[in-house]
Amino acid sequence: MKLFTSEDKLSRVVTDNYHLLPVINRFGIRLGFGDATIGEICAERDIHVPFFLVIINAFHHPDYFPKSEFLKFSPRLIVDYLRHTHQYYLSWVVPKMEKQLENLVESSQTNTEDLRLIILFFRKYKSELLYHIKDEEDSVFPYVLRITAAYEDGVPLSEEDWGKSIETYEKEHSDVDEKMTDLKNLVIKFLKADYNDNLCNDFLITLFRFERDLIDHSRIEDKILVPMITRIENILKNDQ
Amino acid sequence: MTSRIIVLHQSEIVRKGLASMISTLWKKEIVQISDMNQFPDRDLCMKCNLLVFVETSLAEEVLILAEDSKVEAVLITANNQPVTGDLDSLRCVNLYSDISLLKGIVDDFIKNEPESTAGENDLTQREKEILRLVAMGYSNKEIADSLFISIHTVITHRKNITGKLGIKSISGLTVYAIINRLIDPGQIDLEKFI
Ligand SMILES: [Fe+2]
Ligand SMILES: [Fe+2]
Repeated sequence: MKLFTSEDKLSRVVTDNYHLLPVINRFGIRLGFGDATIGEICAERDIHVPFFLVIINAFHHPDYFPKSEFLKFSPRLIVDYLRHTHQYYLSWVVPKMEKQLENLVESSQTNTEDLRLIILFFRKYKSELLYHIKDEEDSVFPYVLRITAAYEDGVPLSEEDWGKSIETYEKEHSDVDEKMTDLKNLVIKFLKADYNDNLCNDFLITLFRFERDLIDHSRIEDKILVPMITRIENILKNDQ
Repeated sequence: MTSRIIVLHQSEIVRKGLASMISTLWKKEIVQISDMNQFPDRDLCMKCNLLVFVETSLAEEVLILAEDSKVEAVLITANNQPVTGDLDSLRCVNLYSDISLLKGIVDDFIKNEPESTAGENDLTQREKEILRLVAMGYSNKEIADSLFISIHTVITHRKNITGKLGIKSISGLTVYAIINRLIDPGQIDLEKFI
């Protein structure tokens, strides 16, 4: 496994794995960076280089997930990255999948009934996903930032926050993941192929890419953010 | 164990008519015979799952042959024809009744088909029955009660269904059940279940 380093050109990262394009965007980096290296580009934009490298390497190699590296970063960096990821899902991926499904229904001659069921199922999945994300944005992440402020800057915690714990806060991902798998199997295995094949392939490719992105995303929440905040909660409680 | 439907009647018109109606409901073998000589022998009766549509005058003989075996007899009756004695307990299709009655009888037979007739990844009849109830929103307890099985058995069936289909969520199973015509979307409130 060859990991990307700060000396690598960012253009090479993109040509090696185009799935990293939206990941790079989440750091505010846009294309047109010539032959600049990762180190140079990050310095110019004030991006934390080790964090950037861990994120792209973990995304690029599904088996690479250096927990101890990750745990060294401030929760602020992690939350910031996760929020940009949510933004990408909400503003781009989810609407795109819905549009692709609608196009698929329109392309069907005789089987629109079944396809409409798939859309209905997709909307159910979507509403659960959006609810999960909203809960993180509105409750979990603000709490994480308050805990971090208490730990890093000594900002006092409210009475209410003392009673909370991240482990009960961050909801499980299993329900949402389950529906994504179901959706995939329904379309691939059971839906009668009475539609434009290319439109269906487009939809599935979006779905597969999204699945991969989500795995990476949930992994950072479950394996990094939660233990990180649990550790800080314990330190704060012991100091109290 | 194989399953077979037999139509036993002296009239060719009745045999063919009934067989053609059954064939829309039953995709396997339908045997048409006109007298008892052609009826399967007792050994075969013991080995097969048989559903026999039989005219009233031949029903007694079928019942004797069928004793202790998995043969179910259904009377073919005409209007105003009284049914007496042992035959009283049998189900009937009347020559003038519509197909829904026939459908009920054939569906029950399909439901009770032994599970080994299904392929490895096809759902068995029992699993389809359970899937249908799951898709309609029944709880494990309700399913267990209505099928007279334990909750544990229901859970085992559900695990097998999910394993075979790769679909876990209830709403996903509902979509599968509708796509595969196991339930009629009119039977459920789609907004609620999906
Ligand atoms: Fe998230
Ligand atoms: Fe999450």
